[in-house]
Order: sequence, then C-alpha cells, then structure tokens
Amino acid sequence: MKKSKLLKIVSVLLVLSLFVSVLAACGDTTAPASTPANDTSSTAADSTPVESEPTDTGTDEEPYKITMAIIGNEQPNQDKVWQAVNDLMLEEINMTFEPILLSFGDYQEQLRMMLSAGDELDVLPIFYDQASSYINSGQIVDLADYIYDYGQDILNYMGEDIATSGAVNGFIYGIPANKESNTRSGIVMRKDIIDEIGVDVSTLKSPRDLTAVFEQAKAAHPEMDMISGSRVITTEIVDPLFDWFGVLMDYGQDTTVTNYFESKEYKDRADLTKEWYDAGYVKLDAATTTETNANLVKAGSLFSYMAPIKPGYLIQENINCGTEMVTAYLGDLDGGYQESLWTSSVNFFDWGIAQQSKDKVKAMEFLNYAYNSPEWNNLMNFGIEGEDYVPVEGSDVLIDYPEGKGIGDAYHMNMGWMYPNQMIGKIWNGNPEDLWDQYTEFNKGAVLSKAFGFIYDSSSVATELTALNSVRTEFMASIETGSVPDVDQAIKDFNDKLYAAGLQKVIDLKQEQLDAWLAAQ
Amino acid sequence: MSTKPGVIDRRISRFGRIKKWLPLYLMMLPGAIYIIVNNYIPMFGIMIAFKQVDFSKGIFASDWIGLKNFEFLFASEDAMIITRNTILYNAAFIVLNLVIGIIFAIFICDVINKRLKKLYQSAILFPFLMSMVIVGYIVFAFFSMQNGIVNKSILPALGQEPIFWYNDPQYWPVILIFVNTWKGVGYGCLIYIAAINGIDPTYYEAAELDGAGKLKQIWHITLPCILPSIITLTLLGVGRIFYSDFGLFYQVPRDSGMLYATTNVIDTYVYRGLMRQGNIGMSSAAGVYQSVVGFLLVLVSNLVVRKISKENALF
Repeated sequence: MKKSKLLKIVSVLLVLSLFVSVLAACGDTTAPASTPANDTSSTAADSTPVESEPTDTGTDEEPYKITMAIIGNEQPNQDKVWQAVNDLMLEEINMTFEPILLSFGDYQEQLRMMLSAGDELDVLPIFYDQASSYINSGQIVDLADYIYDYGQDILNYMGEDIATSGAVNGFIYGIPANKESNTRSGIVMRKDIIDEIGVDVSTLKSPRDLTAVFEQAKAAHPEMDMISGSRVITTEIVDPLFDWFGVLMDYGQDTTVTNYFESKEYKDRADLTKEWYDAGYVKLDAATTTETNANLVKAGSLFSYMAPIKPGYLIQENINCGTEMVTAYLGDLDGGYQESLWTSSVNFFDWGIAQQSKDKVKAMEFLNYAYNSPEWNNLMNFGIEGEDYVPVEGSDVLIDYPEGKGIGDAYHMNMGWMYPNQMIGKIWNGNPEDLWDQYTEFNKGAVLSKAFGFIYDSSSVATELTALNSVRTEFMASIETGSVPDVDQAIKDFNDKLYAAGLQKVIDLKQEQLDAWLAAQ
Repeated sequence: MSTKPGVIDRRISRFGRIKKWLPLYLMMLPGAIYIIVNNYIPMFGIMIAFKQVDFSKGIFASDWIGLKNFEFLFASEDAMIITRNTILYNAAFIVLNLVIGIIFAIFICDVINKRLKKLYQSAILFPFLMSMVIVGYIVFAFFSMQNGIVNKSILPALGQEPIFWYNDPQYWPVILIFVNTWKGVGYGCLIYIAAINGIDPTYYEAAELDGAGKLKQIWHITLPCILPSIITLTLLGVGRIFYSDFGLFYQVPRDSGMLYATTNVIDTYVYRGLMRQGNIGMSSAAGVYQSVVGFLLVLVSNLVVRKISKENALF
C-alpha cells in the first residue's frame, strides 16, 4: 500500500516537472521567436552586448542606442572592434552602437522579419529592388523629413542630387552608399592559360571575340569548362529600370519603355551563348549551379567568367580564385560600348531608417556622422589599427595585415562598398594609392541614363510583378546559359508568358510615370 | 481490487473522477497549451490575407482590400499548371506511400529474426530523417549533366548518349515520385508496423487452422485490422493535398527553369513570385487558400468514408 502511494506521488511530481519544464522551454523560445532563424548569423551580435558607459560624455543627456543591421561574415576580434566603435560614437556623438550582423545568404528574409516583427532597429541597408516594397508596406521612413535638418554634412559632401537620389515618388528611402557606381562588365580569365595559348587580351572588345579564345583554350584543356554563370554574358546595354520588365534601350538614351526580351540584342546574345553551349564551352550545369565562379576556377574546372569590373577588382579576384587572373572590358556584340549610369547602379545600395526606430532624428544624426567619419568607416571595415591592420610603410592611405597575421586572424570585413562612405577611409594594400580618385573618375566618365534619378512606384502592379518574377526565373537562366534546346522557341515562349502575366501593364505604368517625371525635370 | 471500469465510474463522485484523472489532465495540458499558442492564436493572422498591410499603421488599422491579395494565384497561365502538378503529385504520393508502405510493413512484420527486423525498420525510416537539401545533392550526384553517375557511368555502359536531365521536364515526374517514395515511405510504414503488431495473433492461428494461405490472411485479417490507420493517414494526406513539400520541388530539381512544367507547384510558385517582393499579404493569401481547400477536402473525404463505413470515419 505504502509503496503504491509513493509511486503515485512520484508520478504526479514527474508529470508536474515535465509540465513546468515544457512551460520553461516555451518561455525561452518565445523571446527569440520574434526573429526566428536568426541563430546562424546574429547570435554573434546578440551575444556581444556592447556595453554603454554613459559617463565621460560632454552632455548630461542619456546616450541613444543605435541599432544597425549590417551584412557580412562573422570576424575574428569582432567584439573588441565593435566595442571600439561604440566608444568612438559615445565620445563623438553621444550614442552607443548595437550592430546586428546578417549573413549574405538570408539578410533579406531576416530584415523583413525584423521589420515585420517590430524588433529594435534604427538603420538598415536597403537594396534598390526592395525599396518599393518597403515603402508600400510602411516599413521605412521618408528621409525627406530629416535629411535637410539633420543630414547637412551628407548633403554638402555628396551633393544634394546624389544624396537624395534614392527616392520613389518623392519618398526618399535611403542615402546611397558612397562607392564606385559605374561598373563595366568584362571577362576574367586564367592568366596561365592565356599565356599558354598566346592571346593578346587587349584585342578582346566584344563577347564575340571570345569564341576564338575559347576554341584555343578548349583545345589545350579539353577537360575544363570555358565559361559559367547563371547569366553567361553580363555586359549591360540597357537601363533595366530596376527589374527588366520594361527597359530603356541604348544605354538608357531612348526614353521609350520597351521589352528587352523581345529585342534583337537579347536574341543575338542568346544565340551566341547557345553557340558556346553547343560547342561545349559553357558548363553544362551552368543554369542550376550554386557554386560561385571564383570557386570553380579555384577548383581548376573553369577557365573564365564575366563580371562587373572596377578599379582594384583584380586584387580581390586573384585572392578569390587562388590563381592569377587577367581581365578585359567587353562591350556589346558589335564591340561598341558606352559607359553609362542608371538609378539602380547608383542606388544599388542605400542606408535608410526603419519605421520602428525610437528616435528618427538621432538615427539621421548617426547617418550624418557615419557618412563623414573616416575613423568610423575604417573601424567597421578593417578593425583596429595595430591589431587588425597596420599602415604600409611609406604610404598615408595604404594598409595591410600586421606582421604574422592574415586572412582569418584579424578583423577584416572588407565590405567597403556597403558602408556609408568607404571613400574617406583607408585603402587595402595592393590597390593603387589613388583608388578613390580612380573611382571618382570612373563614375564621372559615364553617360547618365535619361531616366537617371527616376524610380518607379510599383505598388499598383504587385500582382503582375509576382507573376512576372516567376516567369523570369523560369526562362532567364536557361536562355542566358544557352541550355535551352531551341533559342527562338524559348524566347517566344518567354515573351508570351511575360505578356500573359501582365508585362504590358507594367511597361505602360513605367512609361506613364517616366513621362511625368521627365516633364517635371 | 478489480472491478469493471464502468461500474467504478458511477460510484465515484465527479470530483473524485477529476482527482483520479488529474495526472492525465496534467499530461494533456502541455500539448493543449502548445496547440492553442502555436496553432490557434496565430489564426488571427488570416485577416492579413485580406489587408494591404502597412506597418506604420499596424496590422489592425491597415486597409481592407478584399480578395485582391488572392489575385496573383490565378493571374498567370501558370495557375493551371501549378494546381495540376500539386494535386497530381500529392495524389501519387498518397497512393504510393500507402501501397508500398503497407507492403513493406507486412514484409517486415513477417521477418522472424528480431535483430534483422529492427535493422530493416530503421533502414526504411532513415531517409525520412534526411534533409531535402542533402537529398537534392544525392540526386544531383546521380543526374548532374557533367559529372553525374548516370551520365558518366551508367548510360555509357549501356551504350546510350548522355541525357540533359536538368534541361528536360519529361523525366521529372518519375524522379520526383521515386525520391518522395524513397524518402517518405518509412514514416507510414512505421505506423502500419505498429498497427500490425497490435493485431491479436489468435486471428492468424484460427485462420491457419481453417487453411487460409498467407495472401488470404493478409486480405481478410491484416488489412481490415489496420484500416483505421490507413484511413487516418490517408485523410491527413488528403488534407495536405494543396500543400507541397517545398524542399522536394525546389531543392531536388535545383530550381532549374526548364523543368517548371513538371516541377512547379503552389509552394514553389509562391516562393519564386514573392521572394523578391516580400508582400506578406499575398503570402498569407496563398496560405489561407491552401488551408481552406485542404480543410474542405478533409471534410468531403471524411463524409465519403462515413457513407461507406461509419465506424472508420475520423469524426
């Protein structure tokens, strides 16, 4: 009898303890549930609370905490660097700093989650193709209300035209990161093979010139793929007006919105790619491969790929590919080319303020500071001087790893193009000392698209865009890698489906808004 | 003290009954709370599907826009294809997992060696536990056009030309159904094994005495006895007929555009269309559409089951 009673009590206790532990587990999980899937990337940020010590500041005001979403990989020495950023900001603008590190793989989903859940967030990166949807769902703030009062330094530094160019219907969603904007496409090839087959790279002007190169290289290395990528030919000859659904032909000089996928240019490119695919030059799995081109080169299976090329590009690519590469700028199929700039190339990447920011004025003041502080940009990009980098002897601007350190030992975010203003910061060794001047020249050398500064408001065609995006993923990679059995048929099917999905409505909308915008200029 | 359970109930007061079953109620509580918190409370989000969500106003204050969010599901000519693919694939999955699952369950239950029985049981469940991403790479190892086992070794050995697997949609119904069966059959199989093990062995002994062969025993004893499990699993499958295994249809064909004719299903369509736009109204609309249709289908199939044999209906 006694034994069974004891058993009963024990069993009730067990059940109770199970219940409590389940509840406890619930309690644990509800807190981060607002930002699920954060565990891979932002745990680092979460676990490194940057202490705020509001003591030795000039004012009596409580420091404001800036929460900033950034994109990149976790770095060694990260906590210390961010603490240093925090200290710097506390001293200079009486704010503390809480970065949230998002990974490249899923930052879009993460940002959406944070915006939707109302997580603490002040400043966020905005890629141009996201702006319209952020605005439509009221997730970001119109900077027009703040930039003129609290962002004077940005206006002075960048010029009002550029600083306020990230706007849709007058809604300024962000300030462009100050970087090289005009990236011209070209071919990146393995130098040893080019030397072996004896090609003069400077003679390469058009993608058509590559056929002969591939022929020789393939003969010398039949086991290798000549070229890969989900879009094989990447040189741009039109202003894509953000999403390619209705473009401006002739580098944006023609103000009639047309369907690029129906153009002769598009077909010529598709035919050339198909020719390469059939000749065995294009990687057979190019349309579905998830491996980066640089990694394929590193693995020894790929000879070349096309990419946007900017000053200093080779330094970066030689590292990524693990072997010496050569580049050549390429133009369109006739060999002609015009340097050009369109809105999406300048406003490719902007910094904006989240709707849930507790103090939007402070957030704007922070941006104003971040666009103008070399110390801030250097710290975020390269870490602490003496620990993560040292100046190169005999140069004011060049820096390099300290003695005995290398990739993986020191903080080296190396994402200058993402931070508000890399062009007031240091330059990594191997680049020319006048890199920033080259960038400026590079930007200046371009012709502006007629629609430069124009961003269309897509809210009324959200349904159509959803269907169009789906059609584009269906056809774009397979046509532009040459994997389709019949190019003409594929292009025809592609366009039929685009029109069925409402392409004409989007084109008309763009044309209407563009005409109104041009008239107002 | 051994009395019949029904008798004891009437003698004990209501309070006594509750006290007696308290541990059971407590055991139920976590599950009930979990379901309420996780499955019922979020249902308020259904209204997002009918709103133009504006975060500066908040969800409740956002404007109602009727069925506009649902339009994109029917906007393109893909609507037919994705609906057809989703339903046909799921129907094939339900039938195959049922038939093959039961066959394997019967085989495994007849294995006499205990250790081998355990081994087969685990082996058949193993693929079920694997991530679709990994399965996608396994399939790619076979069918990669450049380095795949099939194109590199098997087809040349048979004297055949290599096939561009990822460029040609006609092969994919077979591949996808095979992969799903390989991966999913273990789960149902396990449930059928449990059901078969629960059958009173005296039935079989009696049948054997009467001279019934193995097939007759299966037909007249095993199948009728596990019918409730079959119906439950099938109804669950039917309820999810408008959902599709995203990993299977996205990871395994490696999102190859040329295969969409046979690999595009509702979930992948929604993902591809909305990935760049992040319109949560439209995403919820897709979810609501799938669950409403699924719910109706469950009601209908349960009705059918009840018409045929009342005691086997779920509700």
